[in-house]
Amino acid sequence: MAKLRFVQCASTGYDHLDVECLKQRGVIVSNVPDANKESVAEHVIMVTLCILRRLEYALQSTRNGVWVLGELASSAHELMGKSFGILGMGRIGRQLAKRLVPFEVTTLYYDLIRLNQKEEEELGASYVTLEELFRLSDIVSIHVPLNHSTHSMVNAKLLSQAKRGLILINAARAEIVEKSALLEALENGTLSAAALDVYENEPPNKDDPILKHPKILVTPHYAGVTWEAQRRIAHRALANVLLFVQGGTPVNQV
Amino acid sequence: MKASEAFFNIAKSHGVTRVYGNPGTTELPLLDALKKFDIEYMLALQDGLCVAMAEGESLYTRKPSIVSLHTVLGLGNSISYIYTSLKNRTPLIVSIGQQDTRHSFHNPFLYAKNDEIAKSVVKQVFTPFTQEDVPRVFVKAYRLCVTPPFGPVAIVLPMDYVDSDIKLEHKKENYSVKLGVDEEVVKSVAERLDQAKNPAIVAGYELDIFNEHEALRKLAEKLCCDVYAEPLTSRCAFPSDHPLFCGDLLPASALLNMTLAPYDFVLLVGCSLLLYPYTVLEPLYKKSVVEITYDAEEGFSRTWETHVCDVGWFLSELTLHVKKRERERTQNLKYSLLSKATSAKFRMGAEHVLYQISKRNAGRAVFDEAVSLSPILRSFLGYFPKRYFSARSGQLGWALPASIGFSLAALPSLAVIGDGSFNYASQALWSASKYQTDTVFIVLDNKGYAILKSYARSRNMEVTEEEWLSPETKAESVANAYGVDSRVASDLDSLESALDWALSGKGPKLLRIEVDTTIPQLF
Repeated sequence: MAKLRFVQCASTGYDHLDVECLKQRGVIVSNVPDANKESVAEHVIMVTLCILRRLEYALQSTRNGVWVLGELASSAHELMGKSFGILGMGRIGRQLAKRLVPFEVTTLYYDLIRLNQKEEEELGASYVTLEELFRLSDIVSIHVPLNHSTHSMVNAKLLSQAKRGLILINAARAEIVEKSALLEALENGTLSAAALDVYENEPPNKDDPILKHPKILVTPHYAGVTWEAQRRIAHRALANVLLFVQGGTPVNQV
Repeated sequence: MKASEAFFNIAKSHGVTRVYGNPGTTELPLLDALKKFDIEYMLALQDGLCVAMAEGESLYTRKPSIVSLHTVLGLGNSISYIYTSLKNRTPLIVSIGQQDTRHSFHNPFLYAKNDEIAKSVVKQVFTPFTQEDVPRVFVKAYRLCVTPPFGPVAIVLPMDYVDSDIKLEHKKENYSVKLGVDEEVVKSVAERLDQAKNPAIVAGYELDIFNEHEALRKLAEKLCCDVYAEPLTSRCAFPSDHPLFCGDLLPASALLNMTLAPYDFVLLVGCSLLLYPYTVLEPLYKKSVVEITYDAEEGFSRTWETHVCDVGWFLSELTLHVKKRERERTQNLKYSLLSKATSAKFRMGAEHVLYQISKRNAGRAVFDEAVSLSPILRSFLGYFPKRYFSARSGQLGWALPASIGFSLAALPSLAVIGDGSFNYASQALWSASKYQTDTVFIVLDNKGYAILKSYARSRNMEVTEEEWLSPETKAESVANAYGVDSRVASDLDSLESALDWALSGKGPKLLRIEVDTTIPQLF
C-alpha cells in the first residue's frame, strides 16, 4: 500500500473505492467520466421506447403465437409530444437532451447548477424545480451522482407530487431512489412503469421483488457498457496511466 | 359656417385628431376645412390601406377613427378592409365622398349608389337629407360605432352639401350604453359550474376589446379550470403565459369537439366560434354550454344557451357565486416552446425564427398575418392584452397598414407577415416611411401561398405544385423603393444579427427571412 501512488478507474463510477482513505494516503484517484455517456443516453431512449411501445409484451405475445395488435393499438404510445424530465444535467444528461431533440419532446431538467441560455437553447431544455420536474414530466430519467445529498432524493414525498402515470428511469445509482417509495408508487398508479439498470446490491438477490415486478423493465447495469464505450474507456484510462508514468499529472482526478 | 367646417368641428370635439385617406376630387371640398381644426391628414397610397391604418389607430384607442374614401372607386378598393373592421368589431367612421347632388339625375362621372354598395360591410350607412345634417350624421355615426357590438359606420357626403353654408350649431354631448346582468342567470350558471366535474372556459376577442382580462382571470383561477382561446382569435383572449391557458381551439367543429370532449361544462366568454373547413359534426353538439357575450348578433346566431350582457360585470358576479376549486396543474405550454425551437433550428423552421423574434420583442404589439405560420406565431409570441391583433375576416394585406396606424396612435408595433400577404399591401410602406412610424415589418418568406398549398394537399392534391401558388418577390427591394430600410436573413448565420438590427432601435424597418418551405399540415 505504501508504494501505491495512483488508481485509475476504468469506469465513470468510483463509489466502489474508499476515495477518502486513498486520498489521505496521498494516492491519486482518477476516473473516466464521460467515455460512456453516449451509451447511457442511448440506453435511456431505448428503454423509454420499449416501455411506451410495450415492446416486452409485444415480443413475448408474438413469440407465443398470441396476436395482440388490437390491444396494443390502444395502449402503445409514441415519444413525440411527451414531456421528458432529466434529473441532473451533467455530461450524460446533456447527451440525452441532445438526442431527444429530433424526437420532438418537451425537454425539462433540474440540476443544482442551471445551464446558461445558449446551452439551454442548443439542447432545447427548460430549467424547472425538482418538484416541477416530477409534476410536469411524463418521463423522468435520473442522471445525478450518488452522494449524501442525492441519497433517497427520489422519495415518497417527491413521488407523491408526480404526474400520474409517470415513467421513471434509473441508470445512475439505485440508492438515489427510495425503493419502498418506488414500489408503492407503482402500486398506486403514480408511476405507470420504471426502468432500472442499477441495484443496491449487484447482482440483486433473485428474490428481489423488483426483478419480477411486471411494471419494471430490468437490465444488468449495462446502460454505459457497450463495446464502443469500453474501448473509449480503455483508451482514456490507458492514456491517463501513461501520462502519470511519464511524469505528468493525471486528469479527471476525483 | 360651412358644413365641412361644422363636420370637423364636431369631429374634433369627439377627439378626432387624424383623418386617413387618399383623396379624390369629390372629397376636396370636405378636406379643405381640415387645416382650420388642426386635424392631420394621413395619406396612404391606396384607399383600402387608409381603412386599415385608421382601424389600427382604433385598435389602440378603442374610439372611432375616420377614414375618407374617394366615392365609389375608393369604396370599391376598400370593401375587404371595411369588412375586416366589421368582423373585428372595430369602431370606424367611413366617410365616402359623393358627386354633386345637383346633377345626380344625369348619372355624372364618379357617381354611384355608394350607400347600397357599402351597406353590407358596415353596421349602417347614413346619408344627410339636407346640408344641415352633415355634422349631425357624424354624431349619429360616432354613437352607432360605439354601441356594442362596435363596428364601422359609413356616411355618404355629397360634395355640394359639405361645401354649403349651414346655420345650426352642435356641440358634443355625452352618450353612453351600458348592458346589464341578470342576477338569476348568474346564480343559475354558478350552480351548474359548481356541479360540473370538469368545466372549461373558451375565451374570445371581446375580452380584449372591452379590457376584461382581469375579470376572467379571477374567475378562471377560482375555478382552477382549463382556458382555451376561441379558434382563430383576432385579439388576446387570455394571457398565454398564464398556467391555466391551454392554447387555441382549432377552427373545425370535429377537432373542436374532440378537444372539448373531456369537459362536462363549457363556458364561452366573449367569443365566436369561427369554423373552417367544414366538418360533418355540429360544434358543441349535446354539450352543456353557456355563452356570455356583448354581441347581440353573436347571441341570436347560436342555438345553445346564450346571454347578451356586460361580460365583465357577469364574470365578476359569477366569481362571487362559484365555489373555489383546487387542482394540481400537470402541464405548462411554455416549456414546450424551447424544445420545438431547437428541433426546428437547422431547417430554419418557423419555430426557431419566432423563438428568436420572441427573445428580442420587448413590448411591440404584434400584427399577425403569417397565415400558414400563424399557429406557430401565436404560440411563440403569445397573447397579451392589447398586444396581439389579426384580421378576423381572413383578409390578406391588413396587418401591414394596421400596424402602421397602431404605431401612429401610440405604440411600437411588429407586423409579422407572410410573403404572400406582403404583396397585397406593400404600398403602405410609403406611409410608414413618410410618417416615420415605429413599426418593424418581418416577412416570413416561405416562397408562396403555403396555406393554399396545405389546403390543396388535403383536398385538391393536383394543384399543390402549380406555379400560381408560388409567386416569389423580394420584399426588401420594394421596401427600399418606398424609403424603408431593409435586410434579408437567408440562413442561420445571418438570422440573429439581422433580428438584432430589426428589433433594436426604432422603425420603420423591414426584414425578410427565408424560412423552411415545408408545407405545414393545417387541414
